[in-house]
Amino acid sequence: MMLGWTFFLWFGCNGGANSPCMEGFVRNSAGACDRVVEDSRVDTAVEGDTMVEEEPTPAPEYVALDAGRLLRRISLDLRGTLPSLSEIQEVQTDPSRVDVLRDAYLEDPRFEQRLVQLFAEQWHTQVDEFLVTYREYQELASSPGSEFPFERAVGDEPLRLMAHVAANDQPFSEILTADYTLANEVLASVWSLDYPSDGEGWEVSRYTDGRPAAGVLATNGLWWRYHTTVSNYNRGRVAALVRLLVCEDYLARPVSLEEAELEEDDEVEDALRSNPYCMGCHSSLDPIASALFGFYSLNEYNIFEIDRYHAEREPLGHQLLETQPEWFGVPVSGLGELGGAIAEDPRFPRCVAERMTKGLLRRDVGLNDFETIEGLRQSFVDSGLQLKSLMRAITDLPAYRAADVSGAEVSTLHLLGAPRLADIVEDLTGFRWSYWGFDLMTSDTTGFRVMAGGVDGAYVTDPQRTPGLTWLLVTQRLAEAGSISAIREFGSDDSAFFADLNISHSPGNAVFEKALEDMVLRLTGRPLDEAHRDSLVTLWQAVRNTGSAEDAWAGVFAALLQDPEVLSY
Amino acid sequence: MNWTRREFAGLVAAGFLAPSALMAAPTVASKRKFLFVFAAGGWDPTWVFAPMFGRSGIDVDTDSTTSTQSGIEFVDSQERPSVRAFFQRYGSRTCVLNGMEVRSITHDTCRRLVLTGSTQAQGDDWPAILAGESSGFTLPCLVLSGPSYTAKHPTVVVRAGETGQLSKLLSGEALQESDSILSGFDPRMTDLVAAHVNSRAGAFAGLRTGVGEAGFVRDLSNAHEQLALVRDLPDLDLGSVDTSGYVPVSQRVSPAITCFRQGITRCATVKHEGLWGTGWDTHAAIQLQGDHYETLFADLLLIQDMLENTPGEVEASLADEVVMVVFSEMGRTPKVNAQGGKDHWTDTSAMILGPGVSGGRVIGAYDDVLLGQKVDLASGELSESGTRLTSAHLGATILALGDVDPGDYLGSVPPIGAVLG
Repeated sequence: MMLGWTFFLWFGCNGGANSPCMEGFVRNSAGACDRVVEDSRVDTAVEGDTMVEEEPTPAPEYVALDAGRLLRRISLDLRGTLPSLSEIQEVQTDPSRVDVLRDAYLEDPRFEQRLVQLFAEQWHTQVDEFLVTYREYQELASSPGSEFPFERAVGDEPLRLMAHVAANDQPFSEILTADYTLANEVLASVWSLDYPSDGEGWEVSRYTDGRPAAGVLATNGLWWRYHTTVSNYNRGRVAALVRLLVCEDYLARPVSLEEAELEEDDEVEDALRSNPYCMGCHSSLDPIASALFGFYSLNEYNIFEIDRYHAEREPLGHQLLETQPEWFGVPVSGLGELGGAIAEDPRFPRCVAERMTKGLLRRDVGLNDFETIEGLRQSFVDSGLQLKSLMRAITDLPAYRAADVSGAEVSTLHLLGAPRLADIVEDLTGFRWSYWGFDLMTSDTTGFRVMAGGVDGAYVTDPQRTPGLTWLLVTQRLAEAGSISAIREFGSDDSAFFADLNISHSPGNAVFEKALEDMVLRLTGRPLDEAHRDSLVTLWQAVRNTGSAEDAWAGVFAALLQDPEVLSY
Repeated sequence: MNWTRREFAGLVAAGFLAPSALMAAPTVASKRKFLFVFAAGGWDPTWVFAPMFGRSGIDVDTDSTTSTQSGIEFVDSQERPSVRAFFQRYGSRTCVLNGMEVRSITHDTCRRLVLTGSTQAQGDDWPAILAGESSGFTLPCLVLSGPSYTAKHPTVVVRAGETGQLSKLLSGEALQESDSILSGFDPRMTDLVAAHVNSRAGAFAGLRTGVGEAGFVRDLSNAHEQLALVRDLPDLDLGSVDTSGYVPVSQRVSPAITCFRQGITRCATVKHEGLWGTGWDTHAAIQLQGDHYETLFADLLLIQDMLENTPGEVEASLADEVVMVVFSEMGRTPKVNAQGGKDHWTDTSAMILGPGVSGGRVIGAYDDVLLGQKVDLASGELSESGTRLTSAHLGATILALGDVDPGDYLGSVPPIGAVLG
C-alpha cells in the first residue's frame, strides 16, 4: 500500500558520509574520515562551509596555584565544599600534603553527591518538568510539597547510579551493566522497586518489573528525560545515548531533506533503509533503537505506560524498524546486552575521560587536548575503569592546577555558581534556600539555578563560566541570608565562625583578629592580607556604629561570602 | 568569503538594505529594539502562514480557506479570528518568511540553529548579538523565558526568571520567599556591604591580571557596573508572575515593555507555549495547532496594542521602535501520522514586523513536499537561480535590521534584502 508522505518522526538522515568516525578519526568537509593528526596542536575551525587548518600553536605554559588555593579547588571539585581550616593550614605548612588530602577527598562521603552534580551538568536529567507530574500518582498527589522532591528524584536516578558505581570503586562500565538502580523513598513510593523497608535516602534497589540488567539504560529517570514518541521509535533516545556515552553527536550534523532527493510518493521508512543519504545515520542508529523497545510507550503522558518496562514489546524493534538490535555493527540480543556492548566500545572510556576533563577544567575539550585526553583514557583503562583514578589523574594535570596560563586562551579562574554555591553556604551557615518544598538554588520555576550560573538541562545546558548580573544578585541575597542565619549562633559552641566571639570583642582584640583571619583563610584558602583586613574592620565598625556586634559580624560575613576570591576558584 | 563591513555598506548604498532615513519608520537601525516570541515545540506553517490546499502530499486544515489581508496571504478560519484580525491590523507592517530550512529535526538542535544559524556550542544568538553590539542598555538582553545562547556576549544576557525572580532579587522580596523567615539587611547595611564588595572587586581586578583570569575579571567588573546601574534606575518595576495559574504571554512580556520604554533593554525573548501552555509539539492531535495559533495571535494583538500605546524612547510609540520576530524552531511534516499528529520537519516559517520591515509581504514558499523554494534575496521573488532560505538568512536579516554587520557573525550569509525594504 502506498502511504505517500506518511511521515514518522524519523531521525534526520544526511548522507552515508556522515556516520560517526571511529576513534582517532574526524569527519572532513568532504564527508570522509581523516585520521586525527599526531600533532594535537593543529586545530581546525569552521569558516563558512570549509574546515580550515589553523597554524600549530605553541604548547601552553601554566603558572601553578599556591597550595591553599589548589586544595580549595580540589575540595570544591571533589566534595563540592571548602576545605577545613586545619586542612588549609596543613598544606600551607607542607604543600606535598595536597595530594594526600586529595586522595582523602575521593573517599569523602560528599564525593558521591558531588559526582551527581558533575554528571547533571552533562546528562541534563535534572529538569524541572517531565511529561508527567507528581499529581499522576495517588501517593503524592495530595501533597503539593511533593512536586520538587519527585521531579528531582526522577532526574537524579541515573546520576545517583553512576555516582554510586564510581564512589564504590566499581569499574565505571558497571553503569551500563548493573542489575540495580538507586532509589529513594519518593521513587520507592510510586515505582515498582524493592527498596529496603528500612531504607533511608538513596539506596541500591531493583525494579521488580523484569527489566534487564543494563545500568542507567534501564532507569526510568534517563528515559523520562529522553522520551520518545510512538512514531519516533526511540531514535531520539539513541542520539542522546551515543552523545552521552561515546561522545558522537548525530544531531550536530545538518539535515537537508532536499539533498535526500525524496519524492512525493516515497515511503520514508523505506527511504531510511535504502536511501544512502538517510542510511548514513540510520544504518547505525536504527539497530540501537531496536534494542530499546522495552521502554517504548504507546502514550508518553501515561504513567502506566512510562514507569514500567514492557518486555513484551521488545520484538517490536525488529518489526517496526526491520533491523535486529546492534551497537555499531555488534549484534546484541536486546537491552541486556546493549550495555555490555557499549562498555566494550573503545570510545566509551575516551568519552568518559573527555566529559570528566570538561567538568573539572570548566571548559570545552577540543582537538588541542587530544594528547591529554588520550593519556587520561589510557590511565583510566589501565586502572580498570576506576573513575576515582581518572579524576585523580585530571587533578594532576598542569592545566588543572593552573593559576594562570600563557600561550593559550583558556580560563584558569572558575566561577562558583549553583548548585555548589548553595552547598557551601549551607555547610558554612546552615542556611538552605527553600520555599514550599522547592530547593530554590537547584530549580528554576520559582528558583535561581540558572540565574546563579547553573544548568536547567533544557534551555541552558552548560554552566555559566564567568560572572553576570543575575549571578551577582543571587550571590548577594544568598550571602545576606546565610550571614543572618549564621549569626543566630553568635557566641554558640556550635558556630563555625563565631564560637569564641562575644559582644565585647572589637578590632585590635586578639580573639577578634583571630576570628577574622580564620574566616578569610577558610573561605578563600589564602591568608588575610593587611589591606583586606583593614577594609573588613572598616566595614565592621561602620555597621557597629549603628547596630549591634552581631549586625557588624553579619555584615562582615555577608561581604566575605560575596568576595570575588570566595566566588572564584 | 566573509560578509565584510564594506560589502554591507555597499548593499545599503545599492538600496538592498535601506538606510533608516529612507524607511517608512524613522527610528535609526542602531536604536531599534527587538522582541523575540518563540513558539516552543515546532509549529505547522500550513495552519496559518502557508496555504497549501490541493496538494496530495500535504495534509491541511480542511475547515479553512485562503485569505489575503494587507498583502499577506494566509490560512483563514472562523476558528482563528485573531489571526485574521492581526493581519488586518498589522499585515502592512508584517513580512512572512516561508520555506526556511533549519537543517535538523530535533528540538535542541533546531532551537540553536534557528537562533544562532549554527550547531556550534559556542555561538551567540541573535538577541545576544544585537544587545552585545550596542551600548547604553542597562539590561541589554532580557530573557523572560525560553532559550538563550551566548558565548561572546555573556554579560549582556539577563534572565528575568519565569516567575519574576529578577524583580524579587532586586527588591529583596526573594528573601521573604523562603521557608526560613528572613527579612534581609536594612538598606543602610546593604549599602555598606555593597560598597565593600565593590571595592573588593576592584582590588581583585588589580591583582588578577593573568591571561587566564582576564575573562572572569572583565565580566565581574561589568556585572558590578551593571548592578549599580540597575539599582539606580528610578522606576524599574519588572513585576512578578503569579504561579498559581496560566499566565498569557501578553502579560509575561510586560517587563520587556517596561524596559523598552525606559530605554534600558534592546532585546527581549519570551517563550510561547500555545493554548494553556500545552506546547506546539503536536505529534498527536494536529488540530491543536489551530488553537495554538489562535492563542498566539491573540497574544500578538495584545502585545502590539501595548507597544502602540506605550510611548517610545524616540518615537511616539514603541511600535515604531520595536521589531517583533515570531518564530518556531522547526516545522511539521506534510502528512498526518497514525496518531493524528504531525512530526518534526526541517522547513518552517517566521514572521517579522515593525520598523524597518518591508510589510505586507510573504517571501518564500513551499513546494509540493513542503520543502522551501529558492528565493531571489533582493527582490523576494521565487527564483530557480535564487537561494534556499535558512535560519542563517533570518539571522542576517535581523542583525541588519539592528545595524549589526551580519558578516561579523555569519560569514558570507547575506540578509534577505527584500525584507528590509
